[in-house]
Amino acid sequence: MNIIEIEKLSRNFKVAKRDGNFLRYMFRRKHTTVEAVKDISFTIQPGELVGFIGPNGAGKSTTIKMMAGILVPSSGNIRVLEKVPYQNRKSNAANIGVLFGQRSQLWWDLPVSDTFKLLKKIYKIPDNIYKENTNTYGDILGIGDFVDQPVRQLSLGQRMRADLCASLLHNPKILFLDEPTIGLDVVVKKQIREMIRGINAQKGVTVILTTHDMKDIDEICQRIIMIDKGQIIIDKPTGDVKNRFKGNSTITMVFDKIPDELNVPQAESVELKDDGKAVISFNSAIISSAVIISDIISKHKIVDITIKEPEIDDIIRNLYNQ
Amino acid sequence: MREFFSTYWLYIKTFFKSRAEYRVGFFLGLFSNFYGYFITYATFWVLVSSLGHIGGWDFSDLSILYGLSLLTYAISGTLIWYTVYHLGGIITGGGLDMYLTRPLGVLRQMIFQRFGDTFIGQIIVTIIFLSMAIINKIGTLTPALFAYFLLCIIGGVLIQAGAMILIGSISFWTKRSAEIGELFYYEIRDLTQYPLSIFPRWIQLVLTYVFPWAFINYYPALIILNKTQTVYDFILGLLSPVIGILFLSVSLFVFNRGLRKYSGAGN
Amino acid sequence: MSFFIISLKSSFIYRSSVIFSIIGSLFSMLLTIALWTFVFQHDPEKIKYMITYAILSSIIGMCYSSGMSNAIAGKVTGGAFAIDLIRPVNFILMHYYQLLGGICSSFIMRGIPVIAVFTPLLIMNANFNSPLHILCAIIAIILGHFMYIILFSLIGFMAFVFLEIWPFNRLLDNTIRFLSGSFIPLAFFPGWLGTLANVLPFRFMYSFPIQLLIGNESITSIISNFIILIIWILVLGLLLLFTYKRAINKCTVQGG
Repeated sequence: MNIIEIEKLSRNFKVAKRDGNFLRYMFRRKHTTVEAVKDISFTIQPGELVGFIGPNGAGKSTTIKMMAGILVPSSGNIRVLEKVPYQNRKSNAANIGVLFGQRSQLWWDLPVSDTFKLLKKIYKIPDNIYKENTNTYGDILGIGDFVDQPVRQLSLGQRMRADLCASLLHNPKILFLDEPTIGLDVVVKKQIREMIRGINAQKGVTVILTTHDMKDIDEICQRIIMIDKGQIIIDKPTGDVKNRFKGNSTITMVFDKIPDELNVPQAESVELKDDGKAVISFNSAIISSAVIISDIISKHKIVDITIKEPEIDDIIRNLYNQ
Repeated sequence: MREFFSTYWLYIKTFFKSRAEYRVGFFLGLFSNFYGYFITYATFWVLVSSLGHIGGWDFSDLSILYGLSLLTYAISGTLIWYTVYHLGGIITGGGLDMYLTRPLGVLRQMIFQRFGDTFIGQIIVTIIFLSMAIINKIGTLTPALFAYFLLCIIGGVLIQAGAMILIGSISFWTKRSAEIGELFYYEIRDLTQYPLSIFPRWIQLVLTYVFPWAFINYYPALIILNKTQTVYDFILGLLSPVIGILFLSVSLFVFNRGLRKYSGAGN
Repeated sequence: MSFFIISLKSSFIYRSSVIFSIIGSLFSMLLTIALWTFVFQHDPEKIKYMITYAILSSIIGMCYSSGMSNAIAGKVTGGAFAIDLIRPVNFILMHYYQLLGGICSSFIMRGIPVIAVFTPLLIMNANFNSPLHILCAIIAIILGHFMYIILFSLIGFMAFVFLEIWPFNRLLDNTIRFLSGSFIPLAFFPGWLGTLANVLPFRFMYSFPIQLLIGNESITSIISNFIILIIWILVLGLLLLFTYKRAINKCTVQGG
């Protein structure tokens, strides 16, 4: 069974056009239609760990909202757990957990444990499951130390862990994570990623993650779906993507005397500039920076070297160009 | 229904538990609300003191008139003022999405998001003056009158809640909800502090057929104080609780419409 | 040209909230006028007097602001108080000028339209005293303005003791509204309440200036009132100074 099935899904928004004509703006606006999501299709199996990436405004959150039952598609089919999510909002909600990285679902002025008790009532969680989950997740996420403190007194990392626990209390079959590691320090990020993997391994929860942090994808997801301008650009296992689209590093070398020609085998491109600089672009999976540098230094006199690792934008741009 | 009340009760308990930490602040806020509305009553008292009466209404009459309005407003406020009235902020903060991902109605969730504890000050001051006025003016209430009184309070709460929900719902369509609300709800409703008979007839009509604020306190007061002039007034008075149900239904309809717009259903 | 239109557009959008607040002021004024018109229906002179009273009260109210309280409290609770002390500018004055700017712009944007709407009514009903009286009234309003500032500044400094001071703002604001005669003239107040109102300084904010403009006050009473007013301001001013010094002390000793 596909836990999520999306077929030719589209979502349009009407946006008021900012006209030059002031009066028209006040009284009768013209609208343009923005196609936030255009005819996308994919299926997700139970227990998968899928990461959604893409530039801001690409349509990621629109897609997630449709899966969560918050937004109604303009056209196409969507089935989550074999039901149409927006037509069965409440029953769909009982089976999904959502973690918004930028917004807590905990009651701000109450202790964490009280939020859990309230959620127990809202999700109608049976006593035994509630106890089991608060204990298990409480331990894994290490929230026992601060579970009785009001949420407003917690650090971001603590709050995120508590939010993660809260989203799992009702044993959701699908977990939607929207930027779960945003703003966290490196140590906590690592913890959260481990926990998500662990929860998936132990309980078979399907995890759907949106993020701008490639390391999140790297360490958690088995599959990457990249969305840009409302369409799916990539839908491949993470391993494939990492290997083939790692992106180019660049070395900028300042020559004492710029050669007429510079041959760097296995490099993507070599650009010779007027100001004595050469910019060499290469894939570090194919050839390492050390080899390139030692090779060139052995033949030329170099004044300065700068090495730049591939940035996420490069990777995404590369992915997009493919 | 039972689930709802038991959840709400749990929420109130936990809310006050956490408030206990800020005991001083809590009581201070409560007192300032108490005092503020006490001054309003004092204002009426001064007026009546020097004028004798306003349109035939003495201080006890005015207490009951205003009391009905304030009590129903405060009760409504404890439930939904901090959340539904400020729906605009909740939408921009992403709170509405959060509510939509939970298996419970959005309005219900907003009720247990924030209890309007500051309104308790109003409730206390108005109960004091209401009781004094009733004892003074009417003596003991007959069972029929008492039942009617309760029904009017419930009806009034429904109207006030309906108004707050309506104003909050404006946020689904535009950002200007706060100002529109201030004007059509607060400012216009303030007219009902005084017996509508002292204003030109058209004002009474507006407050009956356009904005039903007169049903919160004026018409019920007419019946309770035996001041009805015409059969017409009497009927409107009896209808007051019913108007509450009707108005709230309209508000809920608008709210759900707004929710559907938000989700893009039918777009 | 496009710049002009753009700024016009944005001022229009900004304006809608101002428009609403103007309508709100007009509305509550109309309510008051309707009330007095009914209550004194058998005494047309009284009605004129009361309408004038209400309009003047509203205009005077635009000259007052409680903003100092939140401005000071914000700095105190935010910890910026200590930082502000390092600046060469006097803390209180700095905030006062900011507030004054706010009052002026508010007066221009909201006050003037409201005054414009009510001027015809005012002209029809008002019976102003001599220009000298009017001058005295203006002086009284200015002094009342300062009293407002001083009182609310004192509340602002309470932030050193209380985390939230908004309850105190409300308490003072409500008391002033009531006992200053801003709505109901103090003449209406029965015995003991009237005495209380006379003893307290709040009457100088509304009742006194309005009396100067349209009431009957003998020269001696005007002079003695001004003396009392000045004494109040001196006392309150000294209190504020004292509080300010103590606050600085507390700050520098405890390091903010």
